[in-house]
Amino acid sequence: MIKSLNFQDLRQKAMEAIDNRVRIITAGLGLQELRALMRGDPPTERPNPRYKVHTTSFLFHIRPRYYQRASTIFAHTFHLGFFTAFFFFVETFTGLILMVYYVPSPEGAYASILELMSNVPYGQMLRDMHRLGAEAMVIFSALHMLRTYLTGSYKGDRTFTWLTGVGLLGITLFLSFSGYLLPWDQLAYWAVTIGTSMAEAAPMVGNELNLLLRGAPDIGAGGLLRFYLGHVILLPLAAILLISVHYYKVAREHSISLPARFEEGNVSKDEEKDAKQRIDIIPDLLTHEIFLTVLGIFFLVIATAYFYHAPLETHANPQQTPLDTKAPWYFWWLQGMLKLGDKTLMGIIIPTIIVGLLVAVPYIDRNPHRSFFKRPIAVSLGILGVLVLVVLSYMGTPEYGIATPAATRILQDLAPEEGTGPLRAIPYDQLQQGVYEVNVTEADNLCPGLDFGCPELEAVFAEYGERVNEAMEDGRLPDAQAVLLIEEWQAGLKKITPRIVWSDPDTGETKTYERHIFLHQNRVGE
Amino acid sequence: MTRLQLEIALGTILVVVSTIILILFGFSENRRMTRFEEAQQAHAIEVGAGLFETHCSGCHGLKGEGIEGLCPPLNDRPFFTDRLEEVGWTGPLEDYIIATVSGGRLTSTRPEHYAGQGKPAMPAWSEDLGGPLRRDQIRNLAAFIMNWEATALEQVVLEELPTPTPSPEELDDPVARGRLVFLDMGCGACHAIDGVSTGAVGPNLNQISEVAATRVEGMTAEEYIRESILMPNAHIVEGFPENVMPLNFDERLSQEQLDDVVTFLLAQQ
Amino acid sequence: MTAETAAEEQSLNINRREFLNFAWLVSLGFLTMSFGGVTYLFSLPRFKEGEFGGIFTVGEVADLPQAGSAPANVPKVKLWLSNTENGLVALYKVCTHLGCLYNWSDQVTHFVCPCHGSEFQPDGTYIRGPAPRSLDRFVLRLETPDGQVLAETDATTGEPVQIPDNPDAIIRIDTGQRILGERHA
Repeated sequence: MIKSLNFQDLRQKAMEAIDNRVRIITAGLGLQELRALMRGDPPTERPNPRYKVHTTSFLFHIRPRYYQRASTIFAHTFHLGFFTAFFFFVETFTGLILMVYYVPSPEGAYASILELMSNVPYGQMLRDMHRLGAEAMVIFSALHMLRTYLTGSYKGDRTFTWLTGVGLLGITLFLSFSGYLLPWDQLAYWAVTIGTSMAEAAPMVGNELNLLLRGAPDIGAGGLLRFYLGHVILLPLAAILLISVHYYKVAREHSISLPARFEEGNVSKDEEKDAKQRIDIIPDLLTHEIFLTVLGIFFLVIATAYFYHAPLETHANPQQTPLDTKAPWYFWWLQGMLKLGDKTLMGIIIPTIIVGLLVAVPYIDRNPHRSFFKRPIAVSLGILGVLVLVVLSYMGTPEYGIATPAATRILQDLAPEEGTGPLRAIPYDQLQQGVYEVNVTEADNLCPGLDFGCPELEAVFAEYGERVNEAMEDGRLPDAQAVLLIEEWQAGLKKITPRIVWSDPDTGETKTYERHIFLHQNRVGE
Repeated sequence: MTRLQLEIALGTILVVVSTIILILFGFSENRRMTRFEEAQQAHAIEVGAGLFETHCSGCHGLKGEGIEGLCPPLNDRPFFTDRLEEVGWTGPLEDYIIATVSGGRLTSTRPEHYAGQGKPAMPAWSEDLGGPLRRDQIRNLAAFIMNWEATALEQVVLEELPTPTPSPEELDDPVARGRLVFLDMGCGACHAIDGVSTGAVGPNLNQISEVAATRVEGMTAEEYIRESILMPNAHIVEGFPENVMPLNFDERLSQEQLDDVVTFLLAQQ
Repeated sequence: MTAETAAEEQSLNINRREFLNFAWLVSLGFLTMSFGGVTYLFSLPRFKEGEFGGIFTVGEVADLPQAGSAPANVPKVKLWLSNTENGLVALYKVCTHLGCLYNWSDQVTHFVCPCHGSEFQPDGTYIRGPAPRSLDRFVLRLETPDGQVLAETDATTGEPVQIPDNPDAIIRIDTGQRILGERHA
């Protein structure tokens, strides 16, 4: 028996066995077929085994077999949906890794983030990627929705997909918001306090809703844990469910839309045929998607290695709200609305109406056309909506509509309660000890004793003087006298005291306002 | 080259570049983390400085120099070299500081020199024990106090600021001078005056000029105030214990300082 | 289905299986609602009104700031003790707008909230800003050391309390009784 087996037979049998294994793993693609894929050759078997993968493989069953050429035109979709999904995966992956170190309790949260950044290789990078990815996901999902709206790709069969999309936008925003609280710094704590206070404004159920979200009347250990669980389990599960439904409908029911001109416009038969030509997912579009993924990862790596760093303010202090507290940027429109009026109306009722309108867009829009030019009302409303959003967002920033007393504003801009600001950015060595009086001490050559002088100190002192004089001239701080005091406090620690003294415009009594700022030489403006 | 081939080529380049960047980044991680830890320690000292000024300086002095009769200094050589042995603490000094700040002191360990603020001599500051400070805040305070080691052991000498008082005009005003004496001598640690101090050990001095006039038959307000400073036990206000107010102000205050602080107190109504 | 049964369907009587299925579905519906209720009751926190919600002793009348000057801060209980021209009032430190803690500004001598700029008088009355109502107050009680009540805030009007002449009188705040600030026009 053994003598009759020659080497050729063995080899053939081995190859067959390997080929079989490969087919099982790849859901039907043999070795030869794999090579054909790499070379860009047409399928080596009939029926096309590449198509079979989409029915046999669980992971691939959600992908369509092909897209029509025109739906892959860059300027049609800008690949926004793809990148939204890409960033979701980035967030999931980076999030899972960060979970190894994060501790969801008020005592441990902030310290665990410090530990992450000071004692974990790539800790800061992963945190930055997670933060940047979150912002990117919000931006891309909003842009994707805008694109879908402007190309009318919510009509007909795509109505339900649009609905799941609105749901996904909401989930994305809540994912971002719930994650915002987790560092447990001043920014996180107060932004989320304001946000959840809106829940309290809901009619009838407001109180219970507030308690459910926060786990107590104020945000504390209960609130942090609830937000954490929402952020890592509840919302991701909901997202995965909705993403699956959303994409399955795209892939298997109605596909990505074609630019409207191919469906409704006057295009030649040849052009139309070319537009509808099939491009297979395996291998062509898959290659393209892998390229896009690599591009995305490249930008994330470059951005977080050299440019972007997630902020971290001081430890959350439930007893003190810092000046210039603001919501995350994607909620500035809401904060802007809240400055306009009653919080139940502006915070609950109107946003609910907006969401309702978004959901109802496919039903309100009776126009069967998708072309830009045949839908002037829809398109103008869309652009108007975006403009309103931008204006409201500007109104949501602290600069708008909050009247901070003059002296407080000057010192807050000079040395903000949170963040660095111009004063803290002055290099330690330039902080020469002394008393610097505005309008008395000359603002140039403040430090003749130092080798390289103190240009930054001079610049800041000059600006300080300008601001005080400005306020004196327009009557906000009459008879203002301002001083900047720098003292050596401890080894490597200096105390800086800006102080403004003025006469109250109404009563004439002398008023004073000052801040005490301690700067250590090893501090680094983050 | 077709577009797809271009993408494959470009993709390969991007992957290689990304990998190289990640590896290079990895080499600098140790340095970055050390830098970050230093910056964190610096930040801790800064925050601790602010906390010390708000909560501790009233008793332990603005620069940790202590107040004779009340609270011990925290910035001098003995604190860093002898204190642990004195009390029998076997762990590091930083832990000793954290423990003392957190738990406070029921009675002073050196009652003849530093009697403290009555009962308890030093309050418990930790949130866990009814105080106002979180654990991370107490650690920041400890970092700040530990930072006095360099100057305490004279490894670093600080330049003294030529004019400690910021505004020259204030120095002409005896009330303003008296206010400085009131603060520098530690009166504010025990006596509260609106907008000046929050001490709660001795009587509140908000309307002292009016009260002082009526305290003792035949004594003017000024006389009563002078006597209270120089001989505290002569008249003790009801409800307050004897022998808590330092008895040695007659030695510690110059005549000018005494006059100024009396002028200042007479302005409180 | 044949044409006859299709026509008959309209007058079909409910058979046993259909009835049982229907009953089953309804009961499953009830079960689902019960699970919903269970989840809701599970998630709704119960909190002991122990710390916040009880009565706090803040100090004595002698420790109060002068009438008309800056209020006293009581951080632990999140309240401002404001000694106004008309009497003493205990203000809840949480802004009636969206929950930030507002501050006292010496510069304009009234309360200013850093979040959206709402401003309030020293006694809590709304001046301007997006807050819907004046500041909330707590019931305040002034007692002698032996417990005799000398003055107390009216729980319905929340008017400031006149401070009795007794410098030893103890100030107690009942954080369980919060008087909501009035809505302004």
